[in-house]
Amino acid sequence: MLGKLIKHEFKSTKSTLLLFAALLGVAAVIALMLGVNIAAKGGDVAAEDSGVISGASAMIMTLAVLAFAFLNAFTFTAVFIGAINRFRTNLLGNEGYLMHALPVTPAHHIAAKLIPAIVWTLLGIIAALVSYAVIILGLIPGINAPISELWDRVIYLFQNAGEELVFPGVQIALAAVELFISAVIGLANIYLHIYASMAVGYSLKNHRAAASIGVFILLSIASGMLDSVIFVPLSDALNSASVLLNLETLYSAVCAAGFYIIAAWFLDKRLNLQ
Amino acid sequence: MSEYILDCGGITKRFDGVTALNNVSFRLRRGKIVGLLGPNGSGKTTLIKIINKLLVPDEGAVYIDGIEPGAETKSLISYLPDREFVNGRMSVTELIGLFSDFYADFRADTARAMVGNLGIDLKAKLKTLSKGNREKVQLIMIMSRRAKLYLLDEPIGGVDPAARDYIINSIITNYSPDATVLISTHLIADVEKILDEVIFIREGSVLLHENADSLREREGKSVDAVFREVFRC
Repeated sequence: MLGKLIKHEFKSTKSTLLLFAALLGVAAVIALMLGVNIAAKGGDVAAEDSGVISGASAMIMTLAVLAFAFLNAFTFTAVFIGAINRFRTNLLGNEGYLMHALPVTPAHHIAAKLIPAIVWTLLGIIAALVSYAVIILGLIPGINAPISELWDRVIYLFQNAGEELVFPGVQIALAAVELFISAVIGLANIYLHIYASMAVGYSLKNHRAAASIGVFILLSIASGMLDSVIFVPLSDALNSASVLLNLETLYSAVCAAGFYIIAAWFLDKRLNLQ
Repeated sequence: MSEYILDCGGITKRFDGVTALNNVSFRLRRGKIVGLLGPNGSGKTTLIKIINKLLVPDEGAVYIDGIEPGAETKSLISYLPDREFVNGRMSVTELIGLFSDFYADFRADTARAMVGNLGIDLKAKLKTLSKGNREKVQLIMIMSRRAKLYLLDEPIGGVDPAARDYIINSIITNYSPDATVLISTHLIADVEKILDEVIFIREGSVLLHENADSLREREGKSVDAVFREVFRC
């Protein structure tokens, strides 16, 4: 049943997210144009000082950078708010009369909302990172490959990343996996925090949105206390970047599990559809 | 298999200190059409929500075919809420797909035929249909199941007389003969002819639960007339 719920969730959200994907596509095109433009100037950020970039083209590039940043920020905000709103309308609003009549447990409902939300958000992050990478590739100093040989620039970046971007003693592949897992659990923590707040807030008869915000703050305080009592002292005793990342991921996982239990319990025992 | 498809025992529900249901107890056998009759605000919708686990009672217990409400009982119940409950961006085909995926007793061919008889395009988004047609499509989904218990909350409220006839006809021609149908309404005259039993509910308490024929015989008048007398303002 969970698989069916997830399938329907992806189907229900894909049309809205295709719009966001189109916006990200526009942002990527802008990024590509920026990357080409920068690479055409020799990848030298000092080119502007030497007068290679004219006033008009500098203005166009500035506008393009602003448009790119705005589109990325707007898309992320829209994906995030869309995922939260989907939980509210589909499980706590009128559509909840259908969803909660399905032979499915509340825990499955939450998981079916969470997994697509994480997937869409991760895809958004990856798309944004690719867009930024295209710009950065044009800015890499010290290589002469033109932007048409984009792959050469990617190889160059990764060959040098081991020395420049990663802490000593940490393999880039392992670090990437750890970062990915950390991102997934971190996103789960954020979404479940909000889901739990809404599940509690919407169990009341009145002022449900305000109550959800209040519960969100209370849960933030509780998770902050957990962090300061257990995880901060532990992290103080450690100094390896990898271990610290894992500890942070563990903290997020513990919080996410707690939020999941709270949300599932309230949807099961205190559901109050109006 | 329990003797009773629905067993409500001592259900009490309060909202902010106001008692919506007060020690409600009754049991329904299989194969009956039962009217849950009461004026607005009498607790009919609250009771149906509790049976469907959309609300949890403060006291008392509910059993559906001997099982407490949960994921398992939801596969036994076909529930029509008193409001539009479907995402308007869904097409009729997608809605049929949703019901087919989750309910093993859903008859997709029956649903498609009933929608087709209304002249509704299966590819149409629900938000593009008229309010009346949306309500009919929702009813078709509910009645296309071979459920053991149908919970219909105000199925004829707010619709024109012709639509009422369509809805009542859809109910009596599509429900499983061994299933029980609980219809909540205050429009008694329209449903009286199909009721086997009636439950009168007022201010959260059950006033009577009786066979419709024996009530008519005992009082010498229609259920509608008895209702108007009992609930006179």
